[in-house]
Amino acid sequence: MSALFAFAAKDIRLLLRNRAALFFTVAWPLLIAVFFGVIFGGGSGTAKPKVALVVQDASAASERFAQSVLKLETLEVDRLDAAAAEQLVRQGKRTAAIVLPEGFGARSTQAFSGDPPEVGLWLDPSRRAERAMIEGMLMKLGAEAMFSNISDPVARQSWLEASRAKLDQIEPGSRQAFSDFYDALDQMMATSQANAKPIPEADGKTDDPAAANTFVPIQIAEREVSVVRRGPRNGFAISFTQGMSWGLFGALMSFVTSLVLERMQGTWSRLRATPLSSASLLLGKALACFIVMLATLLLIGGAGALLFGVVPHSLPKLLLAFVAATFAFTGLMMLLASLGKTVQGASGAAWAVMMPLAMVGGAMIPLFAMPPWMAQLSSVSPVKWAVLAIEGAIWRGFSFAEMATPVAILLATGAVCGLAGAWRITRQPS
Amino acid sequence: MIRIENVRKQFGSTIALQDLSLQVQAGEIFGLLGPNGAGKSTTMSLLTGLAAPDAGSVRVLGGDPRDAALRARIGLAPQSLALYENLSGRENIEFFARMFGLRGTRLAQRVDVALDFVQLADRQHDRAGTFSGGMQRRLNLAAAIVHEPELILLDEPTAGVDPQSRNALFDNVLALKAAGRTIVYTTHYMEEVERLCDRVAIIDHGRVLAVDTVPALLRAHAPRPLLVIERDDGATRIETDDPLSELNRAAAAGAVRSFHVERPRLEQVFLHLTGRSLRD
Repeated sequence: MSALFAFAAKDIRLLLRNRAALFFTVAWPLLIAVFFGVIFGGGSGTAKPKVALVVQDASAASERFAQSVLKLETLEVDRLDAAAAEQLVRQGKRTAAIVLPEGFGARSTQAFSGDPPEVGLWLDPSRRAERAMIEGMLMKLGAEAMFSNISDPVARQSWLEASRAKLDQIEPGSRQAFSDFYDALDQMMATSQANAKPIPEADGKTDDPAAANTFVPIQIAEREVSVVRRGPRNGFAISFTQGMSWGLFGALMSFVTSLVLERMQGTWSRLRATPLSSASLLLGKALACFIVMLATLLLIGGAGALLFGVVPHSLPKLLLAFVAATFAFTGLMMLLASLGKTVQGASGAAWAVMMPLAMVGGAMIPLFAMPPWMAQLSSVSPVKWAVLAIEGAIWRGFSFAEMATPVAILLATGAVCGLAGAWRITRQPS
Repeated sequence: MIRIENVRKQFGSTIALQDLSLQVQAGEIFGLLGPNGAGKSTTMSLLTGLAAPDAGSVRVLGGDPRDAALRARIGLAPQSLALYENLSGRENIEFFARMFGLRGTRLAQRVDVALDFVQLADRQHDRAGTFSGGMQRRLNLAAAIVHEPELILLDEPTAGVDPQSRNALFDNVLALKAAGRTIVYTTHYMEEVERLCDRVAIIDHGRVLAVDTVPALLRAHAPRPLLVIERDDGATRIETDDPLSELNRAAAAGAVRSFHVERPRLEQVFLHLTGRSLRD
C-alpha cells in the first residue's frame, strides 16, 4: 500500500514541477472562470446584497427606521410589499427581506422594559455570510434609533414616559434603579444639550447585571425561506463550474501524457519488473490523478467562494459532486491513455474525444442556455453530468435524491472507462 | 541461477525466440551478444517476468520470474534510460527503492550506498534531466542495485557514454561481481564482453549459436593468428598457430624490416557466426 502512495506522490511531485501542466490544470481554468464570469456580469451581487424592505407598521418610528435602512450603502434595498418580497427571496432574486412588523413603533418607545422592537429577517438558510452582515447592519440601525430617541427632547420625553409607565414590568429589585436611571438620563441629556456640548453615546448601562442583560436595541426574528426556484447567484456561479470542468480536463490531459510517457521512456517496464503488479501500478497512477483533480476542484471552488461569492447551496453535496466527477474523469484518463502508443497519438485521441464532450457537456455553453436538441445530446457527455452535479450543489438546490442520477452516471462512467483502460494497458506489450 | 530451456516466443507473425536454451551460473558475468533483432531484449523480458514464454520454461533464482516475490531479488537496468528527469538523482533512487519495499533507515542507507557506488553522491540533489549521458547511465545502474538484488540484468548499460563513464561502469560491474552478484550483460561492444564476461552466448534469429568463455569461442570459431612481416619489397601475411617459429623461418630467409601479429578477436567470431548481412 505504501508503494502505491509512493507512486502517487511521485506523479504529483512531477506534475508540480511541470509548469506548463500545472498552468493548464489550475491557472488556466481559474482564468477562464474569472474571464467568463466577468463577461456574464458576474460580480454584481457580491459587493452589495440585494435586500427587500417590508414595512408593516405605520408609525413614525418605523418610517424613520425604514429610511435609515434604505440609506444603507452596503445593501441594495428596495421597498416592497410582503408577498412580493417573499416571492423574490424564494426565487433567489433577493438575498433577504427585512420586515418591520406591526407594533415596531410601539415597542420602540420602550427603553429597558418589555420586548424590544422586533425586525423580521426572511432569508435563504444557506446564505450565512450575508445573514451575519445584515444582522450587524440592523443592530447598528437599532442602536442609532435608540440614540435618536434619547437625543431628541420631545421623543425622549415620550420615550421616558412610556418607559416609566412600564416600570412595574421590571423586576422589583431593579425597579428603583431604573426609575433613578431614567431621571438621571433625562437630566443629563437636558443639561448637556443646554450647554450645547457633544452628546455622549447612549450607554443604557446599569450596575444591575440582570437589567443590563435586558438591553438590546432591537430583536431580530429570523424566518427561513425555502428557495423554490434557484438561479445562479451571479455570473461566476456559472463560469466557475465551467472552470472546474476545464480543470478536470487539464488534469486529465496531464495524466494521459504522463502515463504514455512512462511507457515510452521505459519507466513502465522498469516498474513492471518490480514486485508491484500492473494493477497496483495503474491504481497508483489513478490515485495520483484522482488527488490532483480533487485538489484542483477544491482550489477553484475555494477561490470562487472566497473571492467571487460562489457559495455552495450545500457543502456536503458539493463534495459528493467533486468526488463523483473526479472519479469519472480518472476513469476517462485511463481509457484515453490506452488509445495511443505515443504522446502525440494519445493526446490527439484525448483532444478528439474530450473536446466534443466538453462542447456539448456544458463546459463552453451553460447547460441552461442550450437549445433543446443540444441539451438532449449533452446527456451522452460525462462533462454534462459533472457540470450538473456541481451546479446542483452550488446553485440548483438539488436534494440528495436529485443528486443521485448525475452522481451514479459519473461513478458508472469512471468504473467502466477505468476498467476498460486498465484492461487495454495491461494487454499492451512493454 | 538462470535456466532457460527450449523457449519459444512469438509476437504476431514474428518469431523472437525459438528453442532457446541457456544456463547462467551464480556469481558469473554472462554476456548476451547478438545483432539487432537477435532476441536479446526478449530474453531479458522473460528473465524479468515482463513476458511469458509460449513454450519451454524459464527458471530464475529457482522460481518463475513472474512471481512478485522473486522479482524483488532481481535488478534491471534497461537499455532506455528509465528515469524521471524532473526528479533529482536521489529522488529517483528513493522512488525505485520504495517500489522494492525499502523503508525508513534502510531506505536512506541503501540510497546513500547506491549513489556512492556510482559516484553521484555530490550531484544527488540535481535533477536527473541535467545529468550528462554517462551520469544518467550510472544513475540507471544505481536504480537497479539499490535493493541489493542477487541477479542484475544490464541491458546495454554503456550505450552512448563517454570513455570515462564507460570505464567507471566497467569498474562498477566488476565490483558487483566481486560482491558475489550474478550479472547478465547485453551489449554490442565486443571489447566489453572480452573485458568483463566470464562466459558469453552469441544469439541470432532467436537461437543460441555458441556459448562459452571468450578464449574457447576464439579457439573454436576464430581464424588463426596472422603474422604480418614487412620487408623492403613489401608485406607478407602468414596465418599460423606458431608465429614465433614462422618469424624465425622468415628472418632466416631474408632481412625483416618489421613485423606484427594480428590476434583473432571476438568480433571475427561474431561475424563468422552471425554473417555479414546488414540487420534492421
